[in-house]
Amino acid sequence: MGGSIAVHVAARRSLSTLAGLLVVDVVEGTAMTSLIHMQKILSSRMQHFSSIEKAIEWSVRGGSLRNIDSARVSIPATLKYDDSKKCYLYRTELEKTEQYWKGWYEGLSDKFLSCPVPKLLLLAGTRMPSWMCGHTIGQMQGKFQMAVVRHTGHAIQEDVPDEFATLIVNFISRNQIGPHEIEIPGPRKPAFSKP
Amino acid sequence: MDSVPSNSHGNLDEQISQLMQCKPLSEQEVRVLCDKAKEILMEESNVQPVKSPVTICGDIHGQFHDLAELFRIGGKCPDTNYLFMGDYVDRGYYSVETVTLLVALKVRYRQRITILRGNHESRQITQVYGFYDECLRKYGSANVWKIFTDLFDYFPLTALVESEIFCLHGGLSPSIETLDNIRNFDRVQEVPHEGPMCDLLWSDPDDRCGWGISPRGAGYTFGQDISEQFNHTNNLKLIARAHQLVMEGYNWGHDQKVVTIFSAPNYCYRCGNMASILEVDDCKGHTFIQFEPAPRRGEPDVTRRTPDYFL
Repeated sequence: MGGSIAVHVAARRSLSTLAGLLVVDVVEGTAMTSLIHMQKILSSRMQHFSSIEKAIEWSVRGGSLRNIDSARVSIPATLKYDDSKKCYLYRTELEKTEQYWKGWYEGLSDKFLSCPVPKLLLLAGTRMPSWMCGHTIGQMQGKFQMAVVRHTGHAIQEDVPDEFATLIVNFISRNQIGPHEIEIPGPRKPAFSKP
Repeated sequence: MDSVPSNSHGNLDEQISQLMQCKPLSEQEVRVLCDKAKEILMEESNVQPVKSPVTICGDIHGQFHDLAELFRIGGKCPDTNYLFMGDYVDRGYYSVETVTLLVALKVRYRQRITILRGNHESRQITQVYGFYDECLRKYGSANVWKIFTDLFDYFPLTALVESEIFCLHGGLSPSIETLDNIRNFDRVQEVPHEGPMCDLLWSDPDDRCGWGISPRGAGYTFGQDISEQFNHTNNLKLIARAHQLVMEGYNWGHDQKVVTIFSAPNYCYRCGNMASILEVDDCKGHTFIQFEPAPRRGEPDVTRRTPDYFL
Protein backbone atom coordinates (compact mmCIF):
# COMPACT_ATOMS: atom_id res chain seq x y z
CA MET A 1 0.00 0.00 0.00
CA GLY A 2 2.92 2.33 0.65
CA GLY A 3 3.75 2.40 -3.04
CA SER A 4 0.21 3.42 -3.86
CA ILE A 5 0.33 6.26 -1.33
CA ALA A 6 3.64 7.49 -2.73
CA VAL A 7 2.33 7.49 -6.29
CA HIS A 8 -0.91 9.25 -5.38
CA VAL A 9 0.94 11.95 -3.47
CA ALA A 10 3.49 12.44 -6.25
CA ALA A 11 0.78 12.58 -8.91
CA ARG A 12 -0.96 15.42 -7.06
CA ARG A 13 2.19 17.50 -7.52
CA SER A 14 1.56 19.13 -4.18
CA LEU A 15 5.09 18.52 -2.87
CA SER A 16 7.28 21.22 -4.37
CA THR A 17 10.40 19.56 -2.98
CA LEU A 18 9.68 16.15 -4.51
CA ALA A 19 12.86 15.03 -6.28
CA GLY A 20 12.23 11.43 -7.26
CA LEU A 21 9.81 8.52 -6.96
CA LEU A 22 10.88 5.00 -6.06
CA VAL A 23 8.23 2.28 -5.92
CA VAL A 24 9.01 -1.13 -4.43
CA ASP A 25 7.28 -4.05 -6.13
CA VAL A 26 3.89 -2.43 -6.63
CA VAL A 27 2.36 -2.50 -10.10
CA GLU A 28 -1.30 -1.99 -10.95
CA GLY A 29 -1.60 -5.13 -13.06
CA THR A 30 -0.25 -7.62 -10.54
CA ALA A 31 -1.86 -5.78 -7.65
CA MET A 32 -5.31 -5.98 -9.21
CA THR A 33 -4.93 -9.66 -10.07
CA SER A 34 -3.66 -10.32 -6.55
CA LEU A 35 -6.66 -8.80 -4.81
CA ILE A 36 -8.91 -11.80 -5.34
CA HIS A 37 -6.34 -13.93 -3.51
CA MET A 38 -5.67 -11.47 -0.74
CA GLN A 39 -8.27 -12.55 1.83
CA LYS A 40 -7.09 -16.14 1.50
CA ILE A 41 -3.48 -15.05 1.94
CA LEU A 42 -4.35 -12.96 4.97
CA SER A 43 -6.38 -15.72 6.61
CA SER A 44 -3.57 -18.22 6.07
CA ARG A 45 -1.18 -16.12 8.13
CA MET A 46 -0.47 -17.21 11.67
CA GLN A 47 -2.68 -14.97 13.78
CA HIS A 48 -1.44 -15.35 17.37
CA PHE A 49 2.05 -15.23 18.84
CA SER A 50 3.14 -16.00 22.38
CA SER A 51 6.06 -13.61 22.02
CA ILE A 52 7.47 -11.04 19.64
CA GLU A 53 10.37 -13.37 18.92
CA LYS A 54 7.88 -16.05 17.81
CA ALA A 55 6.29 -13.59 15.42
CA ILE A 56 9.68 -12.65 14.02
CA GLU A 57 10.54 -16.30 13.61
CA TRP A 58 7.30 -17.00 11.79
CA SER A 59 7.68 -14.03 9.45
CA VAL A 60 10.87 -15.56 8.09
CA ARG A 61 10.10 -19.27 8.40
CA GLY A 62 6.52 -19.26 7.20
CA GLY A 63 5.78 -15.70 6.17
CA SER A 64 7.00 -13.50 3.38
CA LEU A 65 10.27 -12.12 4.74
CA ARG A 66 13.69 -13.65 4.18
CA ASN A 67 16.04 -11.65 6.35
CA ILE A 68 15.89 -12.35 10.08
CA ASP A 69 17.92 -9.26 10.97
CA SER A 70 15.52 -7.02 9.10
CA ALA A 71 12.49 -8.81 10.51
CA ARG A 72 13.73 -8.12 14.05
CA VAL A 73 13.50 -4.42 13.23
CA SER A 74 10.25 -4.33 11.26
CA ILE A 75 8.00 -6.95 12.87
CA PRO A 76 7.67 -5.59 16.43
CA ALA A 77 5.94 -2.42 15.23
CA THR A 78 3.27 -4.47 13.46
CA LEU A 79 2.15 -6.19 16.68
CA LYS A 80 0.19 -5.30 19.78
CA TYR A 81 -0.32 -7.26 22.99
CA ASP A 82 -3.85 -8.44 23.73
CA ASP A 83 -4.37 -8.53 27.48
CA SER A 84 -7.45 -10.72 27.37
CA LYS A 85 -6.00 -13.31 25.00
CA LYS A 86 -2.54 -13.05 26.57
CA CYS A 87 -0.77 -13.04 23.23
CA TYR A 88 0.47 -10.79 20.44
CA LEU A 89 -1.80 -9.93 17.50
CA TYR A 90 -1.38 -7.84 14.37
CA ARG A 91 -1.91 -4.19 15.11
CA THR A 92 -3.73 -3.55 11.82
CA GLU A 93 -6.64 -5.73 10.79
CA LEU A 94 -5.96 -5.71 7.06
CA GLU A 95 -9.02 -7.86 6.35
CA LYS A 96 -11.27 -4.97 7.33
CA THR A 97 -9.75 -2.65 4.74
CA GLU A 98 -10.93 -4.73 1.78
CA GLN A 99 -13.41 -2.13 0.56
CA TYR A 100 -10.54 0.25 -0.17
CA TRP A 101 -8.11 -2.13 -1.88
CA LYS A 102 -9.34 -1.60 -5.40
CA GLY A 103 -9.20 2.17 -5.04
CA TRP A 104 -5.55 1.99 -4.02
CA TYR A 105 -4.44 0.31 -7.24
CA GLU A 106 -6.89 1.26 -9.98
CA GLY A 107 -5.25 3.72 -12.36
CA LEU A 108 -1.94 3.42 -10.57
CA SER A 109 0.06 2.87 -13.77
CA ASP A 110 -1.15 6.08 -15.40
CA LYS A 111 -0.56 8.01 -12.20
CA PHE A 112 2.94 6.60 -11.89
CA LEU A 113 3.82 7.52 -15.45
CA SER A 114 2.34 11.00 -15.09
CA CYS A 115 4.72 11.94 -12.27
CA PRO A 116 7.22 14.46 -13.66
CA VAL A 117 10.15 13.48 -11.43
CA PRO A 118 12.69 10.71 -12.13
CA LYS A 119 11.13 7.34 -11.39
CA LEU A 120 12.55 3.98 -10.35
CA LEU A 121 10.43 0.84 -10.16
CA LEU A 122 11.92 -2.11 -8.30
CA LEU A 123 10.47 -5.55 -8.95
CA ALA A 124 11.12 -8.76 -7.06
CA GLY A 125 12.81 -11.27 -9.31
CA THR A 126 11.10 -14.28 -7.78
CA ARG A 127 7.98 -13.56 -9.77
CA MET A 128 7.87 -15.59 -12.92
CA PRO A 129 7.98 -14.01 -15.36
CA SER A 130 8.90 -10.83 -13.55
CA TRP A 131 9.37 -8.72 -16.65
CA MET A 132 5.71 -9.10 -17.51
CA CYS A 133 4.72 -7.31 -14.33
CA GLY A 134 5.89 -3.83 -15.22
CA HIS A 135 4.31 -0.84 -16.87
CA THR A 136 5.29 -2.36 -20.20
CA ILE A 137 4.43 0.49 -22.54
CA GLY A 138 5.93 3.16 -20.32
CA GLN A 139 9.13 1.24 -19.80
CA MET A 140 9.64 0.54 -23.50
CA GLN A 141 9.01 4.19 -24.24
CA GLY A 142 11.89 5.00 -21.91
CA LYS A 143 9.83 6.84 -19.31
CA PHE A 144 11.28 5.33 -16.15
CA GLN A 145 13.98 3.07 -14.84
CA MET A 146 13.16 -0.48 -13.85
CA ALA A 147 15.36 -2.80 -11.86
CA VAL A 148 14.54 -6.43 -11.20
CA VAL A 149 16.12 -7.59 -7.98
CA ARG A 150 16.72 -11.32 -7.94
CA HIS A 151 16.66 -13.61 -4.92
CA THR A 152 14.21 -11.48 -2.99
CA GLY A 153 10.55 -11.54 -2.08
CA HIS A 154 8.10 -8.68 -2.16
CA ALA A 155 9.79 -6.75 0.67
CA ILE A 156 12.95 -5.97 -1.27
CA GLN A 157 14.13 -3.36 1.22
CA GLU A 158 14.04 -6.00 3.96
CA ASP A 159 15.33 -9.05 2.15
CA VAL A 160 18.34 -7.45 0.47
CA PRO A 161 18.96 -4.12 2.23
CA ASP A 162 22.50 -3.60 0.95
CA GLU A 163 21.53 -4.08 -2.68
CA PHE A 164 18.47 -1.92 -2.11
CA ALA A 165 20.59 0.88 -0.64
CA THR A 166 23.00 0.69 -3.57
CA LEU A 167 20.14 1.05 -6.04
CA ILE A 168 18.88 4.13 -4.22
CA VAL A 169 22.29 5.76 -3.98
CA ASN A 170 22.91 5.16 -7.68
CA PHE A 171 19.48 6.56 -8.54
CA ILE A 172 20.13 9.71 -6.49
CA SER A 173 23.58 10.15 -7.98
CA ARG A 174 22.58 9.54 -11.59
CA ASN A 175 19.66 11.95 -11.41
CA GLN A 176 21.78 14.56 -9.62
CA ILE A 177 19.34 14.81 -6.75
CA GLY A 178 20.52 16.89 -3.84
CA PRO A 179 21.99 20.33 -3.20
CA HIS A 180 24.05 21.79 -6.02
CA GLU A 181 27.83 21.79 -5.67
CA ILE A 182 27.65 19.13 -2.99
CA GLU A 183 28.93 15.68 -3.83
CA ILE A 184 26.63 12.98 -2.50
CA PRO A 185 28.89 10.43 -0.83
CA GLY A 186 28.42 6.77 -1.57
CA PRO A 187 28.46 4.07 1.09
CA ARG A 188 31.73 4.25 2.97
CA LYS A 189 33.24 3.16 6.22
CA PRO A 190 32.63 5.40 9.24
CA ALA A 191 35.22 8.12 9.76
CA PHE A 192 35.82 7.13 13.36
CA SER A 193 36.56 3.54 14.23
CA LYS A 194 35.53 2.12 17.54
CA PRO A 195 38.31 1.40 20.02
CA MET B 1 31.60 -38.57 -37.45
CA ASP B 2 32.92 -35.12 -38.15
CA SER B 3 30.74 -32.65 -36.29
CA VAL B 4 31.20 -30.03 -38.99
CA PRO B 5 28.92 -30.95 -41.89
CA SER B 6 30.65 -31.13 -45.26
CA ASN B 7 27.77 -29.52 -47.13
CA SER B 8 27.32 -26.47 -44.94
CA HIS B 9 24.80 -24.68 -47.17
CA GLY B 10 22.57 -27.72 -47.51
CA ASN B 11 22.65 -28.31 -43.80
CA LEU B 12 22.00 -24.65 -43.11
CA ASP B 13 19.02 -24.63 -45.45
CA GLU B 14 17.54 -27.56 -43.55
CA GLN B 15 18.13 -25.77 -40.28
CA ILE B 16 16.53 -22.59 -41.60
CA SER B 17 13.50 -24.58 -42.76
CA GLN B 18 13.24 -26.14 -39.33
CA LEU B 19 13.57 -22.77 -37.63
CA MET B 20 10.93 -21.23 -39.90
CA GLN B 21 8.55 -23.75 -38.34
CA CYS B 22 9.54 -22.37 -34.93
CA LYS B 23 11.43 -25.53 -34.02
CA PRO B 24 14.71 -24.94 -32.18
CA LEU B 25 18.02 -26.47 -33.24
CA SER B 26 19.90 -28.88 -31.01
CA GLU B 27 22.52 -27.49 -28.65
CA GLN B 28 25.32 -28.87 -30.82
CA GLU B 29 23.83 -27.33 -33.96
CA VAL B 30 23.61 -24.00 -32.15
CA ARG B 31 27.25 -24.28 -31.13
CA VAL B 32 28.43 -24.93 -34.69
CA LEU B 33 26.20 -22.20 -36.10
CA CYS B 34 27.43 -19.60 -33.63
CA ASP B 35 31.07 -20.50 -34.26
CA LYS B 36 30.51 -19.73 -37.95
CA ALA B 37 28.60 -16.57 -37.12
CA LYS B 38 31.43 -15.36 -34.91
CA GLU B 39 33.91 -15.75 -37.78
CA ILE B 40 31.67 -13.64 -40.01
CA LEU B 41 30.76 -10.99 -37.46
CA MET B 42 34.30 -10.38 -36.24
CA GLU B 43 35.15 -9.16 -39.74
CA GLU B 44 32.40 -6.55 -39.67
CA SER B 45 32.95 -2.93 -38.70
CA ASN B 46 31.54 -1.12 -35.69
CA VAL B 47 29.97 1.05 -38.40
CA GLN B 48 29.00 -1.64 -40.87
CA PRO B 49 28.46 -0.39 -44.44
CA VAL B 50 25.18 -1.49 -46.05
CA LYS B 51 23.99 -0.96 -49.62
CA SER B 52 20.47 -0.18 -50.72
CA PRO B 53 17.92 -1.52 -51.41
CA VAL B 54 17.50 -2.60 -47.80
CA THR B 55 14.62 -3.02 -45.35
CA ILE B 56 15.36 -1.64 -41.89
CA CYS B 57 13.73 -3.31 -38.87
CA GLY B 58 13.40 -2.50 -35.18
CA ASP B 59 12.88 -4.57 -32.02
CA ILE B 60 11.55 -8.14 -32.31
CA HIS B 61 11.81 -9.30 -28.68
CA GLY B 62 11.25 -13.00 -29.19
CA GLN B 63 7.94 -12.61 -31.02
CA PHE B 64 8.81 -15.25 -33.58
CA HIS B 65 5.46 -15.46 -35.34
CA ASP B 66 5.48 -11.71 -35.80
CA LEU B 67 8.97 -11.99 -37.30
CA ALA B 68 7.55 -14.55 -39.72
CA GLU B 69 4.78 -12.06 -40.51
CA LEU B 70 7.46 -9.41 -41.11
CA PHE B 71 9.14 -11.68 -43.67
CA ARG B 72 5.78 -12.35 -45.32
CA ILE B 73 5.19 -8.64 -45.69
CA GLY B 74 8.71 -7.42 -46.38
CA GLY B 75 9.78 -10.38 -48.47
CA LYS B 76 11.90 -13.42 -47.76
CA CYS B 77 15.61 -13.17 -47.10
CA PRO B 78 17.66 -13.28 -49.40
CA ASP B 79 15.16 -11.92 -51.95
CA THR B 80 14.93 -8.85 -49.71
CA ASN B 81 17.97 -7.37 -47.98
CA TYR B 82 17.49 -6.74 -44.28
CA LEU B 83 19.00 -4.64 -41.53
CA PHE B 84 17.86 -5.49 -37.98
CA MET B 85 18.66 -2.98 -35.25
CA GLY B 86 18.85 -5.30 -32.26
CA ASP B 87 16.71 -6.60 -29.38
CA TYR B 88 15.95 -10.04 -30.82
CA VAL B 89 15.51 -11.66 -27.40
CA ASP B 90 13.69 -11.24 -24.08
CA ARG B 91 10.03 -10.67 -23.24
CA GLY B 92 8.47 -12.72 -26.06
CA TYR B 93 8.03 -16.46 -25.77
CA TYR B 94 10.31 -17.46 -28.66
CA SER B 95 13.60 -15.67 -28.19
CA VAL B 96 15.50 -18.88 -28.89
CA GLU B 97 13.87 -19.50 -32.27
CA THR B 98 13.99 -15.82 -33.21
CA VAL B 99 17.67 -15.19 -32.58
CA THR B 100 18.70 -18.58 -33.95
CA LEU B 101 16.86 -17.90 -37.21
CA LEU B 102 18.40 -14.45 -37.63
CA VAL B 103 21.89 -15.79 -36.91
CA ALA B 104 21.32 -18.69 -39.33
CA LEU B 105 20.19 -16.28 -42.04
CA LYS B 106 23.29 -14.17 -41.34
CA VAL B 107 25.55 -17.19 -41.80
CA ARG B 108 23.71 -18.33 -44.92
CA TYR B 109 23.32 -14.93 -46.63
CA ARG B 110 25.96 -12.77 -44.97
CA GLN B 111 25.79 -9.91 -47.50
CA ARG B 112 22.00 -9.75 -47.49
CA ILE B 113 21.27 -9.40 -43.81
CA THR B 114 22.87 -7.20 -41.17
CA ILE B 115 22.18 -7.83 -37.50
CA LEU B 116 23.13 -5.12 -35.00
CA ARG B 117 23.37 -5.34 -31.22
CA GLY B 118 20.61 -4.06 -28.97
CA ASN B 119 20.75 -3.37 -25.24
CA HIS B 120 19.08 -6.74 -24.67
CA GLU B 121 21.92 -8.61 -26.41
CA SER B 122 23.68 -8.71 -23.06
CA ARG B 123 24.39 -11.22 -20.31
CA GLN B 124 23.01 -9.05 -17.56
CA ILE B 125 19.78 -8.06 -19.27
CA THR B 126 18.94 -11.54 -20.62
CA GLN B 127 19.21 -13.04 -17.13
CA VAL B 128 16.39 -10.79 -16.00
CA TYR B 129 14.05 -10.40 -18.96
CA GLY B 130 13.48 -13.93 -20.09
CA PHE B 131 16.07 -15.29 -22.56
CA TYR B 132 18.08 -17.09 -19.87
CA ASP B 133 14.98 -18.75 -18.42
CA GLU B 134 13.75 -19.69 -21.88
CA CYS B 135 17.08 -21.37 -22.70
CA LEU B 136 16.92 -23.30 -19.44
CA ARG B 137 13.39 -24.40 -20.23
CA LYS B 138 14.05 -25.44 -23.82
CA TYR B 139 17.53 -26.95 -23.44
CA GLY B 140 17.72 -28.05 -19.82
CA SER B 141 20.88 -26.04 -19.14
CA ALA B 142 22.33 -22.58 -19.67
CA ASN B 143 24.85 -23.69 -22.32
CA VAL B 144 22.89 -22.25 -25.24
CA TRP B 145 22.38 -19.00 -23.34
CA LYS B 146 26.14 -18.79 -22.85
CA ILE B 147 26.84 -19.59 -26.51
CA PHE B 148 24.54 -16.81 -27.68
CA THR B 149 25.60 -14.19 -25.14
CA ASP B 150 29.24 -14.79 -26.08
CA LEU B 151 28.26 -14.33 -29.73
CA PHE B 152 26.37 -11.11 -28.98
CA ASP B 153 29.68 -9.43 -28.14
CA TYR B 154 30.60 -9.70 -31.83
CA PHE B 155 27.46 -8.05 -33.22
CA PRO B 156 28.22 -4.71 -34.91
CA LEU B 157 27.00 -1.68 -32.98
CA THR B 158 25.87 0.50 -35.89
CA ALA B 159 25.39 0.44 -39.64
CA LEU B 160 25.63 3.02 -42.40
CA VAL B 161 23.28 2.69 -45.38
CA GLU B 162 24.69 4.23 -48.57
CA SER B 163 26.80 6.57 -46.41
CA GLU B 164 23.64 8.52 -45.61
CA ILE B 165 21.45 6.66 -43.12
CA PHE B 166 23.03 5.95 -39.75
CA CYS B 167 21.39 2.96 -38.07
CA LEU B 168 21.72 1.80 -34.49
CA HIS B 169 19.62 0.45 -31.65
CA GLY B 170 19.51 3.33 -29.19
CA GLY B 171 20.98 6.72 -29.96
CA LEU B 172 23.81 9.19 -29.71
CA SER B 173 26.49 9.68 -27.09
CA PRO B 174 28.13 12.83 -25.73
CA SER B 175 31.42 10.91 -26.10
CA ILE B 176 30.94 10.41 -29.85
CA GLU B 177 31.21 13.19 -32.42
CA THR B 178 32.26 11.30 -35.54
CA LEU B 179 31.68 7.89 -37.06
CA ASP B 180 35.43 7.30 -36.74
CA ASN B 181 35.03 7.62 -32.98
CA ILE B 182 32.75 4.59 -33.19
CA ARG B 183 34.98 2.69 -35.62
CA ASN B 184 37.92 2.96 -33.28
CA PHE B 185 36.79 1.27 -30.10
CA ASP B 186 36.77 -2.41 -29.15
CA ARG B 187 33.19 -3.61 -29.11
CA VAL B 188 33.85 -7.21 -28.13
CA GLN B 189 32.69 -6.97 -24.52
CA GLU B 190 29.62 -7.11 -22.34
CA VAL B 191 27.52 -3.97 -22.72
CA PRO B 192 29.02 -1.60 -20.13
CA HIS B 193 26.85 0.32 -17.67
CA GLU B 194 28.02 3.67 -19.03
CA GLY B 195 30.22 5.18 -21.69
CA PRO B 196 29.94 5.49 -25.47
CA MET B 197 29.15 1.85 -26.21
CA CYS B 198 26.41 1.87 -23.60
CA ASP B 199 25.00 5.12 -24.98
CA LEU B 200 24.73 3.77 -28.55
CA LEU B 201 22.50 0.97 -27.26
CA TRP B 202 20.51 2.88 -24.63
CA SER B 203 19.98 6.55 -25.61
CA ASP B 204 16.70 8.08 -26.81
CA PRO B 205 15.86 11.21 -28.82
CA ASP B 206 13.98 13.91 -26.93
CA ASP B 207 11.89 16.97 -27.69
CA ARG B 208 14.05 19.01 -25.34
CA CYS B 209 17.36 20.38 -26.60
CA GLY B 210 20.78 19.29 -25.48
CA TRP B 211 21.77 16.21 -23.54
CA GLY B 212 19.58 14.90 -20.73
CA ILE B 213 19.70 12.20 -18.11
CA SER B 214 17.82 9.22 -19.51
CA PRO B 215 14.85 8.11 -17.38
CA ARG B 216 15.88 4.56 -18.26
CA GLY B 217 18.90 4.67 -15.99
CA ALA B 218 21.42 4.23 -18.81
CA GLY B 219 22.33 6.27 -21.87
CA TYR B 220 21.24 9.86 -22.48
CA THR B 221 18.42 11.75 -24.09
CA PHE B 222 19.45 14.00 -26.98
CA GLY B 223 17.68 16.94 -28.58
CA GLN B 224 17.34 18.14 -32.15
CA ASP B 225 20.37 20.39 -31.83
CA ILE B 226 22.49 17.35 -30.99
CA SER B 227 21.25 15.19 -33.86
CA GLU B 228 21.54 18.08 -36.33
CA GLN B 229 25.15 18.62 -35.33
CA PHE B 230 25.91 14.89 -35.55
CA ASN B 231 24.24 14.56 -38.95
CA HIS B 232 26.05 17.63 -40.26
CA THR B 233 29.46 16.57 -38.96
CA ASN B 234 29.10 13.12 -40.52
CA ASN B 235 27.30 14.07 -43.76
CA LEU B 236 24.23 12.06 -42.79
CA LYS B 237 20.66 12.51 -43.93
CA LEU B 238 18.89 10.36 -41.36
CA ILE B 239 19.36 8.52 -38.09
CA ALA B 240 17.23 5.37 -37.91
CA ARG B 241 16.92 3.70 -34.54
CA ALA B 242 14.71 1.35 -32.56
CA HIS B 243 14.60 0.84 -28.75
CA GLN B 244 11.34 2.69 -28.08
CA LEU B 245 7.83 1.34 -28.41
CA VAL B 246 5.89 3.62 -30.74
CA MET B 247 2.21 2.89 -31.19
CA GLU B 248 2.16 3.36 -34.98
CA GLY B 249 5.30 1.25 -35.48
CA TYR B 250 7.37 4.25 -36.52
CA ASN B 251 7.72 7.82 -35.34
CA TRP B 252 9.53 10.77 -36.88
CA GLY B 253 11.45 13.20 -34.72
CA HIS B 254 13.82 16.12 -34.99
CA ASP B 255 12.30 17.56 -38.17
CA GLN B 256 12.37 14.17 -39.92
CA LYS B 257 16.07 13.63 -39.28
CA VAL B 258 15.58 10.92 -36.64
CA VAL B 259 13.13 8.04 -36.96
CA THR B 260 12.18 5.35 -34.46
CA ILE B 261 11.21 1.96 -35.90
CA PHE B 262 9.57 -0.73 -33.75
CA SER B 263 8.89 -4.13 -35.28
CA ALA B 264 7.16 -6.11 -32.50
CA PRO B 265 3.40 -5.70 -33.02
CA ASN B 266 1.14 -5.95 -29.96
CA TYR B 267 4.33 -5.84 -27.92
CA CYS B 268 4.44 -8.35 -25.08
CA TYR B 269 1.15 -9.68 -26.44
CA ARG B 270 -0.67 -6.82 -24.74
CA CYS B 271 0.40 -3.33 -25.84
CA GLY B 272 -1.87 -3.09 -28.88
CA ASN B 273 0.71 -1.29 -31.03
CA MET B 274 1.35 -1.52 -34.76
CA ALA B 275 4.77 -2.61 -35.99
CA SER B 276 6.69 -1.20 -38.89
CA ILE B 277 9.68 -1.70 -41.17
CA LEU B 278 11.37 0.88 -43.39
CA GLU B 279 12.09 0.06 -47.02
CA VAL B 280 14.92 2.03 -48.57
CA ASP B 281 14.92 1.48 -52.32
CA ASP B 282 17.91 1.79 -54.61
CA CYS B 283 16.92 5.36 -55.46
CA LYS B 284 17.01 6.03 -51.71
CA GLY B 285 13.26 6.46 -51.46
CA HIS B 286 11.74 5.64 -48.06
CA THR B 287 8.58 3.61 -47.50
CA PHE B 288 7.23 2.55 -44.14
CA ILE B 289 5.25 -0.67 -44.09
CA GLN B 290 3.08 -1.15 -41.04
CA PHE B 291 1.81 -4.53 -39.93
CA GLU B 292 -0.37 -6.18 -37.31
CA PRO B 293 0.47 -9.19 -35.16
CA ALA B 294 0.40 -12.62 -36.73
CA PRO B 295 -2.73 -14.61 -35.94
CA ARG B 296 -2.37 -15.99 -32.46
CA ARG B 297 -1.92 -19.67 -31.87
CA GLY B 298 -2.03 -21.19 -28.43
CA GLU B 299 0.63 -19.45 -26.38
CA PRO B 300 2.98 -21.70 -24.45
CA ASP B 301 2.20 -22.32 -20.82
CA VAL B 302 4.48 -20.09 -18.82
CA THR B 303 3.97 -20.63 -15.12
CA ARG B 304 2.49 -17.66 -13.32
CA ARG B 305 2.63 -17.98 -9.59
CA THR B 306 0.03 -16.35 -7.43
CA PRO B 307 1.94 -13.31 -6.23
CA ASP B 308 2.83 -13.44 -2.55
CA TYR B 309 1.52 -9.96 -2.33
CA PHE B 310 0.85 -8.02 0.83
CA LEU B 311 -0.99 -4.79 1.08
